[in-house]
Amino acid sequence: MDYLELAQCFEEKISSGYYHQNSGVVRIKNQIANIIDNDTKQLLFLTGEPGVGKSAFLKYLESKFSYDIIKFDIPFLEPIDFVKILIKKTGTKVDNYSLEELIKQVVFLYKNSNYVVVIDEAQLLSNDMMEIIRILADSKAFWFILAMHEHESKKILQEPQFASRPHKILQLQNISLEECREYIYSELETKNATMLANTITDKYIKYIYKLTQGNMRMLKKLLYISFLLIDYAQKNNEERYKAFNKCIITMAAIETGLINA
Amino acid sequence: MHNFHDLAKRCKHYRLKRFFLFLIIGFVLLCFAAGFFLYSKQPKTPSLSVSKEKEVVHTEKSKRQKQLKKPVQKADKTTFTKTRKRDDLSKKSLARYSLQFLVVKKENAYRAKKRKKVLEAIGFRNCKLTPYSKYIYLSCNATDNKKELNKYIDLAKRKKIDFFVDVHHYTKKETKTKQRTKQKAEKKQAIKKSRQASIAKEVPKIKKAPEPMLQVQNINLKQLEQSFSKTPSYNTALLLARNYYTDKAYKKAIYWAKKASEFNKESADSWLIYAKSLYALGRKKQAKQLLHIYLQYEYSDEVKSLLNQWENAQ
Repeated sequence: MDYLELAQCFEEKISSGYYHQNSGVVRIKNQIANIIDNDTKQLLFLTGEPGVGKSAFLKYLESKFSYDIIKFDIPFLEPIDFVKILIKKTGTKVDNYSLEELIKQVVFLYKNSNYVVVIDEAQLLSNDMMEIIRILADSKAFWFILAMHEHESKKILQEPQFASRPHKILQLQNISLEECREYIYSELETKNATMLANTITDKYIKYIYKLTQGNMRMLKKLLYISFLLIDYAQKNNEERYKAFNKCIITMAAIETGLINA
Repeated sequence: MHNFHDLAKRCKHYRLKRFFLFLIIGFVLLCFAAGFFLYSKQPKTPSLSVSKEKEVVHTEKSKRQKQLKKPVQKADKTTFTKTRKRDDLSKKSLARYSLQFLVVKKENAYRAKKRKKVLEAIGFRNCKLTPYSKYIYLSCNATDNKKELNKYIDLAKRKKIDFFVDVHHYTKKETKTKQRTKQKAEKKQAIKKSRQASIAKEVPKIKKAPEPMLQVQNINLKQLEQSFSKTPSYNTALLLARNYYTDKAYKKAIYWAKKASEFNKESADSWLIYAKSLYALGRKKQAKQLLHIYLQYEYSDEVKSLLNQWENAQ
């Protein structure tokens, strides 16, 4: 069995072909669809702890969602550049107008469309950018999905300009033990490693879950390193570490920093 | 994985550490469980008296004891009835409050003594060690007025000393019996004193003179002379003669010996004192003659032996 290949399936990738949809993700996806279908255009805040899978979810939305999505991964934008990008997306030439004129132009261009502007790491947006987003949201030209860390989102949502406006908060949470098990098995099955999946018993799943607390990023990292270690052990004939066991998980946890040893 | 071996090593250390940690925790829990088991098996400390109750409990230990005591009382019918009786008694009874600080076994009495000194140094008054059964109770500031205890309770709290307010109920009957016993004791003492005084007065009336002379040394001679003048008797005269002889007042001894012989000429005692006094004054011939004269009329071993002793001495 090629453990290196197995490790790669748990590697954090920029573009992932397969996205495992756990119950939380499915729920939020349906919520978004419902809101877009039934509500007026407004701000949607996607919150969750770091590593919970917000960015992965947004990537999935971008590729698989039936709506038109304009996604911004890097939030370090100037308001004028942000508006210019939005105008360019329609194929319209951008004139050297003032910011006010550009806002008018962009609102005019998107008024009758159903575009969803998705901004990842929105907690890093500057106040000017937040102000532009607020203005554009008020114009009812766009849907906005702002993905941000849970802690920072509380601060931003308490500000009067957001608190007083219509908005929805969608909270993505850490996966449960069952989801953790399902995720590991489904990922291994995609690589035809059903036999290996059977060796990862409930005891190991529980130990992995205890270490990662259901955080997707940590879970992926832990499994990735675990399989790398097994691969190394097999290649270097380290008998004790050739199979998936608790010691391998502990070693991976030490490497990832989950265990301070 | 260039750090594979390092990771394996760290993993071993970590697992070993956790193993020992669990071992220690397990051991501590086991000790705790064993301690608790032994503690629960220990006999409960008895109260000072049947009507004694512990009112305010400030320590967790005593709280636990209380919690333990409650179900026992419910379970055991006999104890339940006892407590009811106690309650009935306490309704009619008077209370005496004190701060109880320590209960130790008699073997550990030194601990209680040490603690007592410390408490007295802090400012607690009337600290007492009360032994009862196998235990010694250290209590302070016993009072009938509970309010008086408040400042000492505050003091104990300030100093963070464990204590509880001990309430000792006693009925009016108890107080009466105590008063009676006190009265009895006082009466006894009074009787003793009066007897001692009367002995001095009754001495002249005694028919037989007390044998050892030392017994009458402390008797007031003037009082004896006065009593003789009121009621003259052989015993009083002889007692005076003996006293004066022991005081080396030989002339007075001769005088009272003569007086005594006037009442009883046959008694050797008065003659002996007369003769001894003369002998002591240096009138030895006269003393010997006196004893010879006595022996002509009466026979006495004592007189004879004394005469022989004097004659042999020459």
